[in-house]
Amino acid sequence: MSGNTIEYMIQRAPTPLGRPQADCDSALWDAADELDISHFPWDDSGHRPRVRARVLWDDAWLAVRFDVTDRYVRAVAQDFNDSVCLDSCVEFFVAPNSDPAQDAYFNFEVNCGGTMLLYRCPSTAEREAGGAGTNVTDSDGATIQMAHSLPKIVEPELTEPTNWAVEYHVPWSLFESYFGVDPPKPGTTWRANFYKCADKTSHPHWGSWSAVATPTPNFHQPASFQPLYFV
Amino acid sequence: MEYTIHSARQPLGTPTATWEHPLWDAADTLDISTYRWQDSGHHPPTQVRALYDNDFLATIFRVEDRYVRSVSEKFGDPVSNDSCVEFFLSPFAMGQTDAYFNFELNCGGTLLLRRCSSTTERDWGRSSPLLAETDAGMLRIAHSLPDQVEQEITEPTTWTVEFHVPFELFGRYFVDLPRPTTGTEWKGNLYKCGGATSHPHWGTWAPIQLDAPSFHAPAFFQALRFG
Repeated sequence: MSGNTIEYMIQRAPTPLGRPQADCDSALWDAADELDISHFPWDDSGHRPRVRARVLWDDAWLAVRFDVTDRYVRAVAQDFNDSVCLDSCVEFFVAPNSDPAQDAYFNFEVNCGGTMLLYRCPSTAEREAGGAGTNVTDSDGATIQMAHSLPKIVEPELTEPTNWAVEYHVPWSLFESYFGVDPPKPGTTWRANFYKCADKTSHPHWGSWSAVATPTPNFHQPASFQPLYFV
Repeated sequence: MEYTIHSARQPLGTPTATWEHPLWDAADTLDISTYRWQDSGHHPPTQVRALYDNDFLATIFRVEDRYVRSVSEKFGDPVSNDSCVEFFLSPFAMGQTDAYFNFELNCGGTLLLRRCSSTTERDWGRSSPLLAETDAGMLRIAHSLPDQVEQEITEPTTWTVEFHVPFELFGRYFVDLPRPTTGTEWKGNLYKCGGATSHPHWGTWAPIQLDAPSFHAPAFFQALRFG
């Protein structure tokens, strides 16, 4: 489906991850590789924020961080599993499996205020058999640690140039509960894609790391996922 | 006060740190000569010229200095402790958002560069991230002194630093930013310091009405107009 294969190396955190900071100068994040969300193939407002994403791991957590060069920033969804993709939003869809056919995945969607939406989304085979997504429960969702640089609510929309960051740490137990997988080891491969959107801001846009080959914006395309290697 | 950044009349080329280079004939010269804070009394005459073309903003500093030192050697090290020149530049007009780049270079050409938060962002507690090193590497830098001046030079010494910043770099940290053209207004201030030399000093182009030395004061930025 997608053209070039790309890949991302998840470096092991040099020190324990601790709690997320969403702060700027954490030496911890210097250890991470960086990827860019640079595919914006669809008709949009022309506002295409620069989005850098980084991932680290340790024995307890998978840590994800986004840094966004942005404006027209808005966050109104405020409860777990509200529609955060309508706000200024970054997303990380990850299938905890190296086999492209085993493509059930988590869709971590987070608005700039740190509110998250999360489902266990069905694999292609499950979906063809009529399977739907499984809502991650509030109590499971609460095991994820979140930090964000903006206030929880940004309304009315902030039109001035505004850069923001979110960082969240996901315990391995969450993957075990919903996918029955063990924590990764060096050499483990998972598959994923990363996204940026802001559907109900004044300047909607839809971008991805790995190109998505659909005529209109649709991030739920596990065929676009690319390898993540745990180092 | 304001300063006009003229369009270069010849290709900017790569920086040479040569103050007398004919390139700079097209530029206006500004002085960093305001010293409001208690210091060592050493106020080195410092002049700056800036030019631009389609792709780059070029700036050269000339400092008639002494007590010269340069020990920071890596990107992001505290160069302001050394013999240092700084250009804080907000790529928006007066009255618009005051997020800015703080180009700080010691006399050895080592750079510190953050994307400094706007007042709005700071009110939310956002600090100012160092640029990714790959982005900072987009700057072209030349300097007249060696990289390291470990033993402070106490004799009178004139040194220069020249750096060229691609406008693409601004676009990476200030979204949707059009490239400047004739008439575009940005804002900023320029500084000279040497915090941990034997003769500390803190000079500015535009005066800063604060009691203690602080260059991170965008409220006192002045207009920089592209000619």
